[in-house]
Amino acid sequence: MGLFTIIMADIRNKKGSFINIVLLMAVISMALVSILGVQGNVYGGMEDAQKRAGTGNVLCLVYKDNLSGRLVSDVENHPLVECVKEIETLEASEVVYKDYSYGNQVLVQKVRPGYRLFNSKGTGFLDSTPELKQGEVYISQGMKTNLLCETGGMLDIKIGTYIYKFKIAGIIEDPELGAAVMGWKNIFISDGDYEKIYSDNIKAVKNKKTGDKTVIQFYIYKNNKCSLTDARFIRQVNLDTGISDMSFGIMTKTMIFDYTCLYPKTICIILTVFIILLLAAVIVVICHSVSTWIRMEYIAFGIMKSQGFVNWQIQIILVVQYFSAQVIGTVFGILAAIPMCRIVSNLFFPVTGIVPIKQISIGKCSIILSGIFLVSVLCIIIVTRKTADISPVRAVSGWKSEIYFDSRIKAAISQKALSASLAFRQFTSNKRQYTGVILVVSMLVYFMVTMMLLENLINKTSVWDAMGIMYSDLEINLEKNISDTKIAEIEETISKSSGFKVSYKCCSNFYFSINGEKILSAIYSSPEYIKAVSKGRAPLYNNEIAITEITAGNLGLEIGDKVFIGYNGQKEEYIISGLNQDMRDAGINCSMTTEAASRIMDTHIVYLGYILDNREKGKDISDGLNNKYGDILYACFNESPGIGSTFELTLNVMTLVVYAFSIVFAMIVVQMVCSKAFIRERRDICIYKALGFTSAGLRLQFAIRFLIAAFIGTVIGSAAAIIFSEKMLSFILRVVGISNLKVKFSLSVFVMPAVLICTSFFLFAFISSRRIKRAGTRELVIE
Amino acid sequence: MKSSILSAKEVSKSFAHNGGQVHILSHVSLDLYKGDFTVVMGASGSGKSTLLYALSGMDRVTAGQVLYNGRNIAALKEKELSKLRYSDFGFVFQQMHLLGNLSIFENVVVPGYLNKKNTADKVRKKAHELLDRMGLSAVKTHLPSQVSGGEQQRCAIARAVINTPVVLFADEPTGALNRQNSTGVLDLLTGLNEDGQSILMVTHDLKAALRATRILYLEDGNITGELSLPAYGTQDEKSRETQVNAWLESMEW
Repeated sequence: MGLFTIIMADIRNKKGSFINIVLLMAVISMALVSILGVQGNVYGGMEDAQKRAGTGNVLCLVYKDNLSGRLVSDVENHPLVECVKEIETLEASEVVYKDYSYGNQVLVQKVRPGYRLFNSKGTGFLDSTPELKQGEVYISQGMKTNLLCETGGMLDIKIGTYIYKFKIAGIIEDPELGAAVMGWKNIFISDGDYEKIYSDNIKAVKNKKTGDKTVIQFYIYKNNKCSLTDARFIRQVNLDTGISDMSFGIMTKTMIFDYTCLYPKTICIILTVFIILLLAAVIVVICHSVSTWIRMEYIAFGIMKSQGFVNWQIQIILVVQYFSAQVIGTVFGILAAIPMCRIVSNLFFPVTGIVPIKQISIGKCSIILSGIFLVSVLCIIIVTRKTADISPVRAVSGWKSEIYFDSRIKAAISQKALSASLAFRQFTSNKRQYTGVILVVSMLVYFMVTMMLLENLINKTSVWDAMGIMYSDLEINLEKNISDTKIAEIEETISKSSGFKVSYKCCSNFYFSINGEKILSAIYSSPEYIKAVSKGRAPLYNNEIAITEITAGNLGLEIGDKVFIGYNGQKEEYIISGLNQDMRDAGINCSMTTEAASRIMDTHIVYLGYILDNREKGKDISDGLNNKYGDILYACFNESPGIGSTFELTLNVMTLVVYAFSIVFAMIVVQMVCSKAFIRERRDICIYKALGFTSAGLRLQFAIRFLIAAFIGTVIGSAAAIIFSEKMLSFILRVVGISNLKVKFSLSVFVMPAVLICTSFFLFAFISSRRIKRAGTRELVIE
Repeated sequence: MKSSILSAKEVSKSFAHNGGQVHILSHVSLDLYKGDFTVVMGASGSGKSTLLYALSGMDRVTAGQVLYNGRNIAALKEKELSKLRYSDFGFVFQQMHLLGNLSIFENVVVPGYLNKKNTADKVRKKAHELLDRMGLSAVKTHLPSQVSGGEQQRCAIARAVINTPVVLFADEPTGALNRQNSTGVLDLLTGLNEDGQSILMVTHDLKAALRATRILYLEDGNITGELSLPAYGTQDEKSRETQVNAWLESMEW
């Protein structure tokens, strides 16, 4: 009961510290619970959607000609397979909306049962999916995001030599290829339209105008006895049946899930790391607060000891107060996280195309928050061990610890910069008080600089590079195998309108089996287009390939290893010449030259990409090329901001969130340290006033001290960023396939966080020091 | 005819206490004269320190006026009051109140730097002279925590006079010192007074009061008596002590 009375009295007397810790914990727990909630909601929404759509464990994309009845039967009768499902589609080479075009693989098909239409806000579904009329199309959210198109708009879909016009009738949930980050896309049309396009395709094939554009989406379902992962499952099935070798694309259910959730997952991981840093900062601040409190209350604790209180009781008084502040803050944080979680979950909809579930994972959050409590209580207990040194005799005899100690840094007090020099002296002679501030600032600046680096690294154009889709202003899809002389002629035509740089010249991407594992392969006309080689070198000869670091890790391969690469029944031996960075297929891919690929398949250049010096001429150039070479190519000027813009926008929002959190943190930390410093230095403030200093001058001194601390913290944080940011980002972004980042440091990366954090600390310290006005010289009187 | 440098007119000071008012000073009027060493004596709680703080502008009065150069310092704004504190008034506290993170020398020069009329060189030169005079040359680079109480108080006096104040206020400057240190401090104050420094000191120490040229007796917030004395050192110490003692007895001290 006695302890309870003391605890309550202490909380009443030290409302400021109590409230600040409540605020800090509220911010941390809100952010943490929101992030966990968002991740859980997106994952939950995806799981539900895949369940509704009946997504198979493996989706193979196979040209109809390659899928024989015997192959289907072999797969169907495989001991690990429950059943298979075939969906017939037609491969479109391009989809155009207004000035924007989408040139990746688009698979046109009939509307599937179980697929649902989103409501206009994308927050839920319509009760029923209306049957499509002739000339109408349903597209996925991913397509909408990439083309920035709206319901009611008109799409041009190019299949073979035909171009079909369709009106967008709605946005449909597609839990397989519906995310914006998915390279392949599904488009849904009415049965009648499909039959018509199919017959056009058959006619074109018969007339030998194009090859058969029919692609089968071949789903394979695991049976209950199979305990293998999806990747191991398809590997085994492929070894026994060869289905993967006959497919031009394969995705497991796990891969589809990972790709779709790639974006929220990456953002949540980055923010989680930031929150962990903030949490570390909170623990530093709490420990600093406890330590200062013990020094300030030395006499009170000594008197308590003299009255019979033992050390553990004093420790309990401190632990209970800080712990209760943490618990209250956490409760507020969780309450604030409920609406926050819903809002943020919906923000990912344009990228994932999945309606998230709306709940907070109480179990998961409870475990994590309990862990946080445990760590912070342990830290408080460690700090409060100091109370064992409190001597009742020294306390009752009026012991008072010296605030200041002699410092080796003896900056002179000058008349011209009196406030600044006094502030510096106060800082150097009481460095311990600012250690916590410096530590917190370092952490904040470190993360702010890291965010700036990330933002610079991934901008509108580089995001395509980062995803392995090298950015180009002008894309040319070659319909036929043309000679190098013809390519040179095309380039000559481009150069008449604008200078250019070749971004890439490559074949279609194919899935090769490397030692039995299906891996996406990019085939380039020259090694120079194989970029970001981090170890070894780009493959120069026809028996060399480059693989990504992630592929190397997954397959246990190293530079110099020999591998067998198979495609369509052909198999050859290759040597790994280097490790490169490529985000396609979440970083699991390989690259080679056309010369190397020609050992196992017929190759010819299909895609040409150019970065134009004069982008304004882009549309004219593409129109000119289409007019002049319409029979052999289709040129497209890339005007679509698409996913690049979405990434850029999200990174900006994320940077803003990090900055906002940092400022809120700066405010609370300054408030906490200031209030303690003010109590400790109250006598000195009165002396300064008695000597003739004004309140404004003293407040300036106070603020300058925090500015010095913030500056030192900024230097440390920036140095830490130079050393660790690249490694940390590489570690975090490994999940999305970027395994070896090369960040670019520039002055601007450091200036913005430095200015922001130093100004915030200076300003908040000046505002928090307003209590100096209340300190009067009268307090120096001893009656 | 002595010229008045500071006047208190009907000065009252009250504090709120337990919902009521406690009157510490009640309609006090007095003049401080140039070159005087004025001492205020009185029993504990009589309002000596309160009067000192009211006259020096360290504390606001509840009613009345404290006139300095024709201006009521009780009505001055913070900035004007600050200027007064570093340029015209000097203050010595009972508990020294030196700044713990500054050396003895720096404690002295800081208020000197505040006064923009002084150049930094001039301030430093004067600080060295004062510290020599106070016997602190050997410890001027020390922190206050590294020197004795007497040395701290002498430093506080040097700090108070660095700007050559019109009035030096001292609140029980020997209150926290032993006899030897007290004598040293009083000698310094006497010396300053002999050089023309006007001093107003509060004390309940008879030895300290003997240094005065004028003693005021404060009782229940009112000045109830006044004694004028010749300059210290011009008469026999024993007879001076007897005279002051007799007067204090008459004041029922």
